[in-house]
Parts: sequence; C-alpha cells; structure tokens
Amino acid sequence: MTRLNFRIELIAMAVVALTVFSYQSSSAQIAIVVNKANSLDNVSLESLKKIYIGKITVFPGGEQIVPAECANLRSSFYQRLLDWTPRRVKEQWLRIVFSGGSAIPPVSLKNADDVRNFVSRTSGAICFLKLSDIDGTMKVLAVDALNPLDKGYPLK
Amino acid sequence: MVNGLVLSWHRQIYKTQDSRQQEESMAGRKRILSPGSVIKKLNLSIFIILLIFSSARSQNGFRVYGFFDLEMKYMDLAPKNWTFDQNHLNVISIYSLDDHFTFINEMEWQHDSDHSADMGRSLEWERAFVEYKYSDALRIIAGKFLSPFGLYNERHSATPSIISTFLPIIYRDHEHWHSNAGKTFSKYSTGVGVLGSIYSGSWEGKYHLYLSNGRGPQQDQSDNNVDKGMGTRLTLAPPGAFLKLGFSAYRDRNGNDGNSRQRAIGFDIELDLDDLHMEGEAIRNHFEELDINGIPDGVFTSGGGYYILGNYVLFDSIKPFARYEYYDENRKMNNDAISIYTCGINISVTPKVILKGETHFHRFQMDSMRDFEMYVSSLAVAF
Repeated sequence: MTRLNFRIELIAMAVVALTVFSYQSSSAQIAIVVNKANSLDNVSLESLKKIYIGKITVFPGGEQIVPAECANLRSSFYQRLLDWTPRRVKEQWLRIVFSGGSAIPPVSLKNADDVRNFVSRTSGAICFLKLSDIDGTMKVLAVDALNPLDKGYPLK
Repeated sequence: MVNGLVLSWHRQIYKTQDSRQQEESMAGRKRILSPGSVIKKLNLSIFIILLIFSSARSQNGFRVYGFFDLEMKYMDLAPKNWTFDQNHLNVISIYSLDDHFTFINEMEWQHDSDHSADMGRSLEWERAFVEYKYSDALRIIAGKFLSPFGLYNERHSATPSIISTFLPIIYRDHEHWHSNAGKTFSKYSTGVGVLGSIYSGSWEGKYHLYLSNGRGPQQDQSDNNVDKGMGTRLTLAPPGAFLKLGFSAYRDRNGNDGNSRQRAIGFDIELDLDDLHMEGEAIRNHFEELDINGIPDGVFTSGGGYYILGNYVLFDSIKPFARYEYYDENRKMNNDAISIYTCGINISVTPKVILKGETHFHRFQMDSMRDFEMYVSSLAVAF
C-alpha cells in the first residue's frame, strides 16, 4: 500500500512538474531576433507570418532570409503567430520544397545557445527566443512597432 | 477511336496485368544497355558523387530533400490481382549560390531505376533550373521546370504533400513522363519564366509567365520547330488567407500527334476553414489538327473536366477525405465520360511519414468499358 502511495505521489509530482514546465514555455515572452548587422529594426506581424510560411524570402535590402526555430518554443510561437500547429507548418513547407520553391525552410535549433550561435553567425537569420535568453550578440526586432515589453506586443 | 483513347489512357494510368506480364518477361531477357541508358547511369553516378562532395557544404547553401512512396494496389478487374509498386524516389537538391541565384534540381526514379524507359520504368530529371531572384515580386527562371498549371502540376506526384495517392483525372496520364501527347498540357517546360508575389495590404497575388519548347515531336526537351509553348498561372488570395483563386492557361503547337495545336485553360479554388479544406479545379482543353501548311484541317477535339475534394483534420494527424471527379475526353461524343468517386484517409505517423488508404470507384458512361473499383494503401515518406 505504501509503495502504491509512493508511486501515485511520484506520478502526481511528474504531472505537476510537466504542467508547470509547459505553462512556463507557453507563457514565455517571445522576442524576434536577427543578426546584429541586419539593418531592420521592426517587422510587421503580417510580414513575420509570411516569412514563417515561405511567402517572403528576402529582407527589404535584398538579402536572403534564413528562418530558424527554437525547438522548445516552436508550439507556442506558431500558435501565437499563425494559430497553426507545428505539424501544419511542416506540411506547408513540404509543399513549398516539393513544388520547387526556393524559400529556405526554418532551420531547427535545439536550445537558446544554438539560437545565439546561429543568429550571430548567419547574416540573414531570423529566429524567436525567450526574452530572458537574449544577450548582446543579436538584435531584437520590434513587431508592429512594439517592443516585447510593450503593452499590446503581438507575440505575448 | 475514343474507346481506344480511353483504353490507352486507362492503361497508362493504371498499369494493367498485361503490361506487368510483359515487363516480367522483359526482365527475364538478357539486358542490353542502350547508349541512352549508359548516359543516364553516368548522369546518376555524377549526381551521387556531387551529392557526396556537396554534403560537406550543407551549411553554405546546399540543401537536399526528397520523398519516396510504396503502394499496394488491388483492382477489381480481370485478372484480379494485387501488386506492390514503388512509384517514386525523388531527390531534390537546392544550391543557393548567393542571395540572388539559386540552382534547383530534381531527379526521379520511377518504379525502378534499373530498367528501360519504354517499360515505364525510368530515371528522369524532373527539374533542373536556375533562378534569379531580384525580389519576391520578380524572379526569373531558366531551364527545365514543371509547368505551373493548376493546383498540382508543380506539386506533381510528391505523395507526402498531396492528399490522394493519385493526381486528379483532369491531369490525365500525368504520371507518365514519356507520353506527352495524352496530357492536357505539357507536364514539363524547357525554357524561361518570370514569376513573383505581389502584396497589396493583406491581398496576395502571384503570377508566373513562361515560354518553352512545348511539346514537340522529339519530346519537350528537343523541340526544334519555331512554334513554342507558352503559359501563365495567376493566383489571388484575399485577406485572411482562407481562400485562394487560381487561373492557368497553356498553349503549344506541333505536338506528338503530328502537326497540331493544343491549348488548355483551368480554374481552381482552395478554401481553408480551420480544420476543413476544400479544393476544386475545372479544366478545358482543345486539340486541333493542322495540315502541312499549318492550317486547321477540321479535326477538332474539345475535352474537359473537373473535380472537387474535401478533407477534415482530426486530432491534428488524421485526414479523412473524399473526392469526386468527372472527365469528358471529347465533348462532341456522347457517353464517353468517366466519373471517379474516391474516399480515403491519410494518417500522419509523423509530419514526414504518412500512411494512406483509399478506395476509387471508376464509373464509365461507355458501355464497352467495365466499371471497376481500386483499393490502394500507400506509405509516403518525406526526407
């Protein structure tokens, strides 16, 4: 009986931990980051949507966009940006690639360290990251002229 | 004649038992490599070597994608039999030379890489073109590309990204690259094109204009006559991206069926409402024979058809779908149309591995054609 209780407690703790973890990642403040050399300071929400579904492939200056995605934020980011699941985003990209489109599908990055490395090395990179994970190696873009801490920021 | 055309088309889309037996007997014979097959094997070797060397540069703009499928098919036609078929193994490579130039290449093994093309098995270059991108609104392509016609020609037979295992009947014998004459339009175009996306507020418009060799007596790749193929595809999506309207047109002259003039137009619509997806297309095509002076000799065939398809997404990974198709090969003839009812289900095991199961009910107006059913299960993998 004691062993059974212990197991139930263990399962309950795991469920609570998972809930807290998923809440944290789903409620995290998401910022859009680009390479520091990128001249862009602001991106419209509409353009951001188009970038992540392959409809806009170059920055205003003519540079090829290389979108990237941070794996542990993928679900909440696509939910907030497009109201799509990651599976639907993948399907969209499969269609583009198999139809001969030259847009570059998002590069999948495991964690914040990988995002920082990738964005700081790739001039055309654009990615999303938790605001708390951002350092001085990259530039944060305003979305619809609102910064991540502003009221009404679209990716809250 | 029409009966013959229907039969011919029918044989080309769904490999009959006769052709399979013929292939099997061919396979038993001593194989002699023709110069063409030697060149294809050489091309394959060069491509694989390039892939190996290029993989080290994957971080520098070289990307490789692909897909393959395996079908299990049963047809309710005598002699009743079922078969496995690996329809496609496609490898797509994209090399971004810089911010403006991109090279796109796609190679397809159809059914089997190791047999001659006249048995319907082949190694084929699906696409090989260079793209110059000035901006998203202005791109120029040059080379061999899939003619942008309708919803599916550019998606061609990429089974992980199409809903049914088979393309709609209005694309006719599209699956078989080696027969251009029976197509509503040329599957491939070798030439140049200009395309782009234009945005106005939340409206999105796309255009694609192209000029190509068209269908010539020596296949589309080597049409040395002065009559070229040309076409366009235009799409418009109003704000919200739930609706997309498309228009396609294609014309060429001097096709495989002797001196002739062929043209086709198509309209398509896609509607996405949350988990519900609807799409439909209608195509009209015209074929006109010309005499040696290029003047129409009075033989004129006009065909057309349409389909509607709906699917619904359940639990993010299960897609039941239904499709109704109608095609009339020659509108001047009575009782030569075909209708196909298809219902099926796609299950995404992962976003890149899809199991498909579907049933097709073929119904012919022509008395000499027997109605039949076809059951297909397939596995489609994107990589």
